[in-house]
Amino acid sequence: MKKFITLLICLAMLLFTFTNCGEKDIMDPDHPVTLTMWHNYGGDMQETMDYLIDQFNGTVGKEKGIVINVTAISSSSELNKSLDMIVNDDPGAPEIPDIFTGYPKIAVKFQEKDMLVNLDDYFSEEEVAGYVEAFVEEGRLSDGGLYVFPIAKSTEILYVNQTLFDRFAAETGASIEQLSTMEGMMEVSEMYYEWSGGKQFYAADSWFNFAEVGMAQLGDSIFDDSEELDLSGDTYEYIFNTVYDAAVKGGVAIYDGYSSDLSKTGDLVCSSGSSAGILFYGDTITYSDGTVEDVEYSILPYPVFEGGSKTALQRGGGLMVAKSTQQKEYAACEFIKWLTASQQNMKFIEKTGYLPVTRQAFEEDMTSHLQNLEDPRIAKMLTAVMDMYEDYTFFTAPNYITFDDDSSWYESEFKAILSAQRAEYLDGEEVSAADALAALKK
Amino acid sequence: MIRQAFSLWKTERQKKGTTLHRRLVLFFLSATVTLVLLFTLLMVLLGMTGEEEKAVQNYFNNATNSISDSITEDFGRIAVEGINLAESISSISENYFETAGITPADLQGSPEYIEGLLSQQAPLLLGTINSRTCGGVYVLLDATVKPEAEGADFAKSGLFLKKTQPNHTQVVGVKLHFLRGPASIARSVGIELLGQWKMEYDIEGQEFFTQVMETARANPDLPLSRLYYWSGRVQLKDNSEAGFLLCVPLRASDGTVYGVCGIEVSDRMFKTHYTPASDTYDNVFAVAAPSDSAGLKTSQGIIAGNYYLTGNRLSDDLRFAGEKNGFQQFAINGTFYSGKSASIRLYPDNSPYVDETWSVALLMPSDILDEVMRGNRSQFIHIVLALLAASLIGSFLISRYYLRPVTEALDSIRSSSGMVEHRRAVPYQEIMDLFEFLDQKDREHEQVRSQFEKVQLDNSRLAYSRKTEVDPDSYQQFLDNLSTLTPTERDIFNLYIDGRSAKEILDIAGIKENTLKYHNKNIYSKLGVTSRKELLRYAALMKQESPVR
Repeated sequence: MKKFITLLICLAMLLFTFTNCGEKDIMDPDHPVTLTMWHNYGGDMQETMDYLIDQFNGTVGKEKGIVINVTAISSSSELNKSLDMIVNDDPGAPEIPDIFTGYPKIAVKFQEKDMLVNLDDYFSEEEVAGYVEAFVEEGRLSDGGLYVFPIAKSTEILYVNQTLFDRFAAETGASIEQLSTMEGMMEVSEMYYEWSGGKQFYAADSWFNFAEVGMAQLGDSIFDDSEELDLSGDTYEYIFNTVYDAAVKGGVAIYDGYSSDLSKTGDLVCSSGSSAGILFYGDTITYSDGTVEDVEYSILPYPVFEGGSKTALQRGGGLMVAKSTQQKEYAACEFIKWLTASQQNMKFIEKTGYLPVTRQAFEEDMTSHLQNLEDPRIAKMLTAVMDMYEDYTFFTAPNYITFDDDSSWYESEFKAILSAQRAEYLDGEEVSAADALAALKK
Repeated sequence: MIRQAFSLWKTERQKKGTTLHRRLVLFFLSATVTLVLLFTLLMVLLGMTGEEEKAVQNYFNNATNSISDSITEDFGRIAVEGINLAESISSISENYFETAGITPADLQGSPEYIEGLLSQQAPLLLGTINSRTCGGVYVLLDATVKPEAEGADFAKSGLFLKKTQPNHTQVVGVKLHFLRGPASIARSVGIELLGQWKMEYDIEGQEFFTQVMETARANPDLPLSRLYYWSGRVQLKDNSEAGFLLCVPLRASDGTVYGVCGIEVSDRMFKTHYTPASDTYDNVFAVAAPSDSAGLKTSQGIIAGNYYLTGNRLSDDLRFAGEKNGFQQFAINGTFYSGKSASIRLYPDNSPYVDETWSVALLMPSDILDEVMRGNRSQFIHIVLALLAASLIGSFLISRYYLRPVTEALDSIRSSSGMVEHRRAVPYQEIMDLFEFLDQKDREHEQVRSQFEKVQLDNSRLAYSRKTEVDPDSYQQFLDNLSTLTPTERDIFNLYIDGRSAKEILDIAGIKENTLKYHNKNIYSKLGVTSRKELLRYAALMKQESPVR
C-alpha cells in the first residue's frame, strides 16, 4: 500500500513537472519573441493603442519575453486589401503578421486555408466565459472554432446636430421623434432640404448596412439561402423606395467619405454610423467662409423602419492570430488575454468610444466608469448605447466568404446609381425609383 | 572579564594542546582565505571589478553617439526634403499668383484665393507625405479667410496632413488624415478629417511662425537652404499630438515672404525611431531639445523611452548639475537624471540660426543609475563574502571528513577493542604504517614483558629456596658489614651482584688478577662468607628483599 502511494505521488510529481514545462518553458524572457501586429486603431484612437502596447511590452511582455511590434496601422479597408493579397498568395503580397485586426469575413478566407489559430486551443472555457457571449459567438466560424477574438465592439447609432436641428425645428415644426423611424427621417430630410435652401439632412456611413439592417428589422434578409445578395423581394423594394426620393430630390447625402466630415462643416445635420465614430464629431462646425459655430450633438438610438423590430447592427472586428510556431501562437494569445482583460479594455473604451468585451467590464465596470469619463462625448454615446442594449436586438453580419465583395459592390453601385439619378434630376430629366432599382438589380 | 576568560582558555589550550580537527580547519581556512584574497587582489589589479561600470559607461557613450548621429542624419535629410518641398510649393504658388493676377497680399480675407492656392499645393503635400518617413506635412499661409473675425490676428490658413504610421513601410496602404485646411480640399482628395480638424490654424503662443517669417524677411539674399528652421516641440491648439516642425519660408519671386511650409517629426515618429533599446537597461530615455550652457530646454523637447517612465515630454527644462561617477547630471524640479549628452548640428555655418544649439541626451533617473553602479560593486562584495563563507564551511566539513577515520580509529583504540580489526577502516597509508609499527612494538613489549615475568618468577623461586638454606645470623652479619667495605671493595661487590664474571670485573675495574684476589679476600672476610657462590646467594637474597639499593 505504501509503495503504491509513493508511486502515485511520483507519477503526480512527474506529470506536474511536464505540464509545468509546457506552460512556462515555452517562453524565455532572456530570448523574447517578437510578434508583428497590424491594427486599424488609427487617428484619435492610436494614442491609446500605442500606450497599451507600450505598457504590455514594458510589463507583462518583458516578464514573459513577448514583444509586440506594430508594423502597420491603417484603415480597415487598407488592411483588408493587404490581407486579401496574403490569403490569395498574390505576387508581392506582404508577409502575414502574427496578430491582426479584422472582421470575421476575412477570417473565413484565412480559415479555409488553415492559416488561422483556433483560439479555443489557447483559452480555457472558463476564460472564454469571461467575455460577452454574443461577442465571442461572432468570432466563431463554420467549424465552431473561435478565430476572431473580440477586442472592442460598436453598434450603429444616430448622431444629431441638436443645435442645427432645433433651429430648423423651431421654424418648421419638425420633431426629434420623427427621427426614430427611417420613414420619418426621410420626411424630415426632405423638409430640411426645402427649408435650408438645398442642404442635406441625413447620410448613412454605410448604405449596405442601412439595407441589411432594414431587412432584418422587417423580418427579412438581404442574403438568400445560397448566401447570395437578394434584392428581388418586396421588402428590399420598400427600403429602396423609402430612401430614393430623399436621396434623389435632396435631403439625403450620398457621400463617399464618413458623414462626420460633412457634419463638421454644417453640411449635414444627422447621420447614422458606428458608435465608435463619436470622436470624429467635435463641438463646433466651421463653415466654408471660416465662421465657427459652437454646437451640441445628441446621440439617438438607431432608427427603425415602421412596423419593424428594434434591430441594430453589432459591429467591430477582432483580433486574429496567424498559424505559426507554438511559441508565437502562445505569446500572441497571452497578449490578447492581457489586452482584453477588464482593466485594459476599460482604458481602451474610455478613450475610443468602443464597447467593452469582457462581462466584467460590460456588465459592471462600465456603469460606474460613465460618471468619471474625461470626454463627455463618450459618456453621452455610451449611455445611449447601453439604453439600446436594453431593448434592441443586435444583428451581426454573416460570415459568408463572398460577403466582402457583395457588400462593397452594393455600396458602390447604390451610390453610383443614386448619384447619377440625382444628377439627372437636377438636370431636369425624368427619373424613377423603379428604373433605379432595376439598374441596381442588374 | 573577556581578557581573563581568554587567558584561561589559552592556558588551558597550552596545557592540553590543540585538536587535529581545529588545526586542519585553520590550515584549510588560511589557505582558501589567502586564495580568495589573491583573487580579489587580482580582480582589482586587472580592473575586473569595474568591468560593469565600464560597460554602463560604454553603453551610455555608444547609445548617445548612435542616437545623436541618427538624429543629425535624419533631420538633415528631412531638411533637404523640406527645402525641395518649399521650392516646389513656391513654384506652383508663383504660377497661381500669375494666373489669378494677384499678389500674396491679396490672399488675406479671400476664401476663394486661399482655397484655390491650397488646392494647387495639396497634391504636392500628398506626394511628400506618402513617400517620406514623417509624422505630417504642412503649409501655413500668412493670411486668414476672415480678417474681421475675433482672434483673426492668430488665425492662419493652410493645410496640415497627418499620417497614422510615420514609417514608410510599403506593407499596407498609408492612412492619411486632414488636421487643418478647407474641408472641401479634404473631400476632393478623399482624405478623412481628424476629430481635431479645424479649418484654420490658431498660432497664438506659437512663435515659430513669426520667427521664420521675420528671419526670412530680414535675410532676403539667403537661399532657402540657409533659412530653414527647426522649431522646438509644437502642439497645435486642440491637437492631441505634437512634434518638431521643420519650417521653410515660402518666398515669392518679388521677395515677399508669404508663409511657411515643412515636415513634422511627430512625438510618435521620434519615439518609434529613437527609443533606446530596453534590453540593456530599463528606464533609459533619449531626449532631443534646444540647449544652452545651462542645460537642455526639455520643455521644448521630445523624449523617447519606456511608457511608464515618461510621457512624450518633460514639463520643464533640464538644468546641468555637474558630474558624478563620470556621468553628467541634470536636475528638473528637484528630480535628478544622469547620463550622457551630445550636441547635434542642425544648421549650416552661415544660417541665421547657427547659434541655436540642440543636444541629445541619454538619461536615466540618477537614483536608478546609482543603484545600477552600486549593484555592480555590491555584487562583487557579495561574491567575495560568499566565497569566504564557503571557505569556512568547506574547511570545517572537509577537515571533519578527512579526520573522521583517524578519530574513529583513535576512539576504537581508546575503547581497547584492539587495533588489528580496525586496520581496514583507516584509509591512510601513514596511519596504517604507524598502527603496524605500534603493533610490532606492542608485540615486542609483550615478549619482553613475558620474559621478564618468567625471570622474575624464577628469581622468586630461587630466592625462596635460598632463603630456606641460608643461616639468618650469617646473613645478618653480611648485611651489617656491607658498610665496612671500602669504595673499591664496594664497586667490585656491586659488579658481582650485577652478574659480572671475574674477567669482566678485571676489565671494568682495570685491575690485575692478584689485586682482585686481594680485594675478594678482604670482602669475603668482612662479610663473613667463604666463597663467591655464598656471596652471590646472600646478594640475591638481599636484592629480592630490597630491589632498590
